[in-house]
Amino acid sequence: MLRYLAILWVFVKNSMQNEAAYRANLLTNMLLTVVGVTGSIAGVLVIYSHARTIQGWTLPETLALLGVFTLMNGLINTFIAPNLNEFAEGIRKGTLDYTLIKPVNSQFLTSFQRCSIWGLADVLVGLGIVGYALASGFEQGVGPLQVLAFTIASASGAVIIYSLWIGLATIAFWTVKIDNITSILQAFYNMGRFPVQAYPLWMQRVLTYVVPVAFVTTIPVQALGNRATPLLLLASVLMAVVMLYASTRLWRLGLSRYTSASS
Amino acid sequence: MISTFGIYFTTQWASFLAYRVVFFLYSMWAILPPLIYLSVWSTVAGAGGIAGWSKGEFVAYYLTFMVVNHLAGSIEIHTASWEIQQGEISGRLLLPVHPGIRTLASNAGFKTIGMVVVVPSVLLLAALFRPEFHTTPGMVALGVVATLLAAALQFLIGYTIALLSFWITRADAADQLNMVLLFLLSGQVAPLVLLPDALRIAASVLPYRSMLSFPVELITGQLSGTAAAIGFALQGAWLVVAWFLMRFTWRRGVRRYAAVGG
Repeated sequence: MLRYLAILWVFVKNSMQNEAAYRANLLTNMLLTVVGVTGSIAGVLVIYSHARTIQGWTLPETLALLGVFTLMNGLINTFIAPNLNEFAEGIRKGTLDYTLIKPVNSQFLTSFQRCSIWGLADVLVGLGIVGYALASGFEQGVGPLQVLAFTIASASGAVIIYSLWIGLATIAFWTVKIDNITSILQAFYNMGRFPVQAYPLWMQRVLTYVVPVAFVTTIPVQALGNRATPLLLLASVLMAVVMLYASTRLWRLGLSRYTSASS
Repeated sequence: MISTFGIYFTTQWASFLAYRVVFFLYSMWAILPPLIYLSVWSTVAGAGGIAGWSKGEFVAYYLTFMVVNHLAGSIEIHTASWEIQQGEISGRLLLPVHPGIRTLASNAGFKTIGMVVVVPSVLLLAALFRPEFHTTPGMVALGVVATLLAAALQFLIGYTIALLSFWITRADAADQLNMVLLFLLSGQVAPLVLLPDALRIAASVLPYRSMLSFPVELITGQLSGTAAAIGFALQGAWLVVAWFLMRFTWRRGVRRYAAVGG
């Protein structure tokens, strides 16, 4: 475990050194984060200019949710997205070989070897939005217990979105060309910009059980607002464990099909 | 020129069919983002409606939006921009055909194939959400014309942005900026009439209404005859501007092109 953390740190450091060489790029990405987040906030404000609540969710609550969404998006953009785009190429060209011959878990390497630290800007901005939402009339009584519940729910959410992402990418072993399959998951993930209660019942079910976005953004904010029961938190943790396990199984299954194209 | 387009169209079509699952998935991008706002607005509207819109009217608006979004959307940042960055355009510049024709053919091919997914999805959503259309066949027909013009406008603008790859490696950043504006000002986050004044005016002054919202407004019967005429005039004006902008960018860009890779 410690060894893997050390390896992860090397990847992050490596990425920082790489990015430092392209400072204009870093600036462009920061600018894009700001523009994107401004657009999202404006969108939420437009809806709340016509409605007081969305199924009981007040403006500060939905803003906090947008904060969590941005934070998770930042984690995805830092660790998962850049890697998986490369992974699909690796299958097509056969360069996945170089990953497989290293004496480290191949799923871990595929998931994290190329992180792109500018996504961390999203993480910071996301935390900033959550902070602002808390300061601007979020529920009363957010204490250490709520913060703990929020942390547990968010960590589970991060594991869930990771498992979903790697699971979907594993499909590349069968279909080869998925370069942008991640962008489809992104389209689903975008539904997490709003609480699941904002969707009709059948979509709530899809967003809870099929593409469990509910666990990634809605439930953490409910936990923060003291509206998540211990049972819901437990379900969240269980879901994370089950999905992580399923993703590793699927990875092994896919890997057994890999025949190393032309290398 | 037409027959060249035809040949490119057929070959692009064939290459897309080879990877059809991926292209079916891509067309979900036209549907899923508006589905968020369809859901949120119809939840907010509830039984009583909001801001003069009933739930069914929101549904009709967004279902139309999805189809127009697919037909008018620009994909050039993924096609033309890539060609320039990878140097693949070098060989195509030698042909006696403008490489843009090929780009246009992939655009048309993608949209045709995507309809296989878009139409059934929208019909399914219509069965689930129950739209309420108040429109006339005439307005729908005008809307179809406006959709084609919007597609042309988005193609020209998308192609111009992709051509920025001649100068900068991050043309996708310009594209993302365009996407955020499109999201706010083209009627996706909310029908334009529901936007605050500042944003609504920006949407009309900038090309964004002509690029997407205007055909949707026509098809859902929101516009009077005069408003429709003004909308078409704006679309026409923007098309002319975008055409010259594209020509200008192309000429300057090709002159600057240094053939990376090949």
